[in-house]
Parts: sequence; structure tokens; C-alpha cells
Amino acid sequence: MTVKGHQIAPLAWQAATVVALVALWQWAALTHPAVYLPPIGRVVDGYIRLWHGDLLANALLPSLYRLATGLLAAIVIGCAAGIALGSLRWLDPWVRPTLEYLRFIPAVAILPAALLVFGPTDQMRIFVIAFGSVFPVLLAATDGARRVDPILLDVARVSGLSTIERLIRVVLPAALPSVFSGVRVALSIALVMMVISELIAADDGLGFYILRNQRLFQTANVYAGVLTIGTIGLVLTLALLAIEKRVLAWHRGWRGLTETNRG
Amino acid sequence: MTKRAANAAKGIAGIAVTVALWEAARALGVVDPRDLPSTAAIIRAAAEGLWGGELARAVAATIGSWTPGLLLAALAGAAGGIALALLPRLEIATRPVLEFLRPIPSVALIPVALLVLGVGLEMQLFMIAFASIWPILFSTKTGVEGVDPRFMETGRVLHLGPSARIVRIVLPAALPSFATGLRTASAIALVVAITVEMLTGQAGIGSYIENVRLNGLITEMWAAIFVTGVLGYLINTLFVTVERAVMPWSPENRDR
Repeated sequence: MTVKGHQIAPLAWQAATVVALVALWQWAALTHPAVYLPPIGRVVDGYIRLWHGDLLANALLPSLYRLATGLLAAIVIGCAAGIALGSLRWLDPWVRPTLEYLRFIPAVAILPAALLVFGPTDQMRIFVIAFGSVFPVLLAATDGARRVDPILLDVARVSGLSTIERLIRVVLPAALPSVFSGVRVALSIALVMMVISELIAADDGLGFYILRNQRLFQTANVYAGVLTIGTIGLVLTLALLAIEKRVLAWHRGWRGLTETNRG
Repeated sequence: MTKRAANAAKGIAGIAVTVALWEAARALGVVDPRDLPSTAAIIRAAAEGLWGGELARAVAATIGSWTPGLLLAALAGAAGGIALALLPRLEIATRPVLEFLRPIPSVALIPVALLVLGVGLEMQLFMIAFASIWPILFSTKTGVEGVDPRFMETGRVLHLGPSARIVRIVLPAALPSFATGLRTASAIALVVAITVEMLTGQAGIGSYIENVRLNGLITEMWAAIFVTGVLGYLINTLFVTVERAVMPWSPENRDR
């Protein structure tokens, strides 16, 4: 806990850095005009234009749709497979080597193959996004499921829960904290794969928008597109943290309790 | 030992099942068999490509840009991480800038780098270094911040100067988390290297895969993809092995 007065100085420092950098950029843009140094006002204009009207429909929404569908597919598949893998120990030696190989294939390398099989469609982009982001979720879910307190499982068994019920009502909640950390990693990978798939093969979406504007030398729009992608990443990360805080509210107290009991 | 042998056998069986599924997908026509060559043909193409073929040159070119790019990121990331951890004022002043840059996926900056640097090795190296600096920077910073204060006090008692304290206490203590960041970065660097190659035609795996695809050499394309997977796997194994051998004091190795 710091006293309030102590927090004003850091804030002033931070504000000063930001103002100085923005001022430096603007000064450089006005005195040394260059293609890659557009005035800040034009970047802001481009940014605002991306959030409504035609560009919202042709750039932002297609990207968001692909990102959300791909990430959701990765979460569902990763959770299901990971929890099965973590609970059914005998399965692990059978699939582990295959998984350990597949997860090191850079998802970009898969893209041309997906392009061949699916064509330049949304299916292809969603597949690539899901392929890239499924592994962190899967590994985190496996890890979480494996660490479930055996006492909980025994209680569930004694209470007469079937295997499926045990997996959904005991293992899944217990693995959630680990799953969430996996989803955070998956989110950043999904965003990268969304951009790459739109840079290489798309005719709409934010990746296509920034690449086309780069070819037209509309640099302010390129920066605006990059900022929009950053905004999406930031908003989704914050949303995820908020969901995590809500869903896992029980976890913090529960963990504290068991840790003190074990002394 | 027998258990290890049994597990190895199960793992091989699992890979065999995956191969069988691939062949079944071909035979049943789930995917157009022309898009999905047989595994035997892919392995043959991979072997031919790697044995003095074009694929070998592509892999070498990618490693040739991956290595200096990652090295650059390692040096800058380590220096930046140590500076941010030891100079709280610097950390406070730069925090908004770092938090602003962090959520932006580096690949989105490829068009910007194309504008500023143009097509070429310089731009590729810059993109690789820029993308892979972040995990190194942040994990080094966390590592330095986690140095046991008693070590620093001991150093002070022993009259070590600030530079000697950094070299003899901070660096060894922060090395394991730096190494973890470097391992994460190595995978990112590979993705960015290949993406830049695909987009700009710079020599390497990315442009090779795109070229063979556009020329309809489907078997060669799949061979290159699976070879890239092996490369990613080998890079990770290399880093894990070196970490274990070089840093027995790392928390990950302490219990062994």
C-alpha cells in the first residue's frame, strides 16, 4: 500500500513520456514528411473510420468473426481432448509423441496446405486459427486435469457419478484455472494467425486492409489498422481476465484454505 | 526400463494410427486424394529435398535469418529486462509505451516494416527481432526482480561494486527465466521468419512452400510442412537440453 501522494509522481512521469513521444512524432511528421511518418491526426481519422460504416463491415467484423470462431473451436476441442487425456492416464503414452510433434509445426506452415484443401475461404482461416491456438489450451487442460485432488475423485465415485459426470462436474471445474492460463496464450496466438491468414490469403479483414493500404502507400491507414488489431487484443485480454475473475472466484478462497490446512 | 520401452512402443503405435487415419482419409475420399499424397510419397519427397535438394537450401536460409534475428532479440531483451528491473524510474516512465506495444501482434507490423525498410534481409531480421524480444524482455525482468534480496545484501557486505553485483549475482539468478523467455521467443522467431518469407518471397522455408504449392508440387509442399515441424521440435529440444545442462541451479532442475 502506497500513500496517495507517492502515486502522483509516477503518473506524471508516464504522462510526460507519452506526451513527449506523441509530440516528437508529430514534429517529425510535420518537419520531415516521409511515407512512413503520417501526422497523428490522419492516423486517428483512419482509426475512427475503421469502427463504423463500410470498413466496420469489410474489415473489422470479418476479422472478429474468424478470430472468435477459431478461438472458440480451439477452446472446445482443447478442453475436451485435454480433460480426456489428463483423466485417462493410460491414453497419454499413446498420443503424447504425436501431439508433441504436431504442436511444434508452426501454424503458418500449415496455411498453404489449408489453402489447398479448403480454398481461400473462411473455413481455411478458421482452421488455421484453431490449429495454432488449440495446443496451449489442450496442454493446459491436460495438466489441470491431471492435478485434480484424488480425494475429490473418490468422493465423486462414492457418490455414484458416472465417468462422464465426473469429468464434467469434478475434473473440468478443477482444471479451469489452468485452462484459463492456456486460453490467454491461445488468444494471442489466435490473433497472430488471424492477421497472417488475412495477409496471405483474403480479400477482406484487417490483415488484408493493412496490406492493401501499404501497397497504396496510405500509411496512416496502415497504422490505424495495426492499432485496431492491438485494440482487439487488449479488449479481449481484459474481457478474458474479467471472466476469469468471475468464474474462478471460488478458486482463490478454496486454494487458500487447502494450503493452510496442509501447513 | 521395460516401462519406458512399453511407452515408446505405445507412442510409435499412436503415430502409426495417425498415419493410418491419414491413409484412410485418402482412401475414403474425405479429402481429395490429389491434395493428400500418401505418407510414403511425402517421406520420400522430404528425404530427396533434404539430401542436397532445394528444401535443404530453404531450411538453411531460414535458419540463417532466424539465428541472427533471435540473437539480436536475446541481447536487446536481456539488456532491456535487466535495466527495467534495476531502474524503477525507467520502468515507470516506459510502462505506458510497453503496455501499448504489447497487445499488438508483431506480424501486423510486417506491412509497416515493408514501408520503412523495404523487402530484404534487413527487414526480415528486424521483424524477427522485434517479434521475439517481448518474451525475453519480460521474463528477464521478472527473473531479475525475483533475485533473492539476501544475495544482493551478501554482495554488498562483500564489497562488490554495482557492476560486479550484476555480473555475479543478478545474471546467474535471472538466467533461468531468461532461458525460458528465449525458448518461447525461438518459436515466435520461426513463425515470423516463415511468414515474412511467404509474404515477400525472401529465400527460405516460407517462400519454398508457397512456390511448390503454386507449381502444383503437392507432395513437396507436405514434405516441407512436416520438415518444418521437425525443425520446430529440434529447436525446442535443443533449448531444453542446453537449459538442463548449463543451469543446474534453475528451479526447473533443482528437484532432479
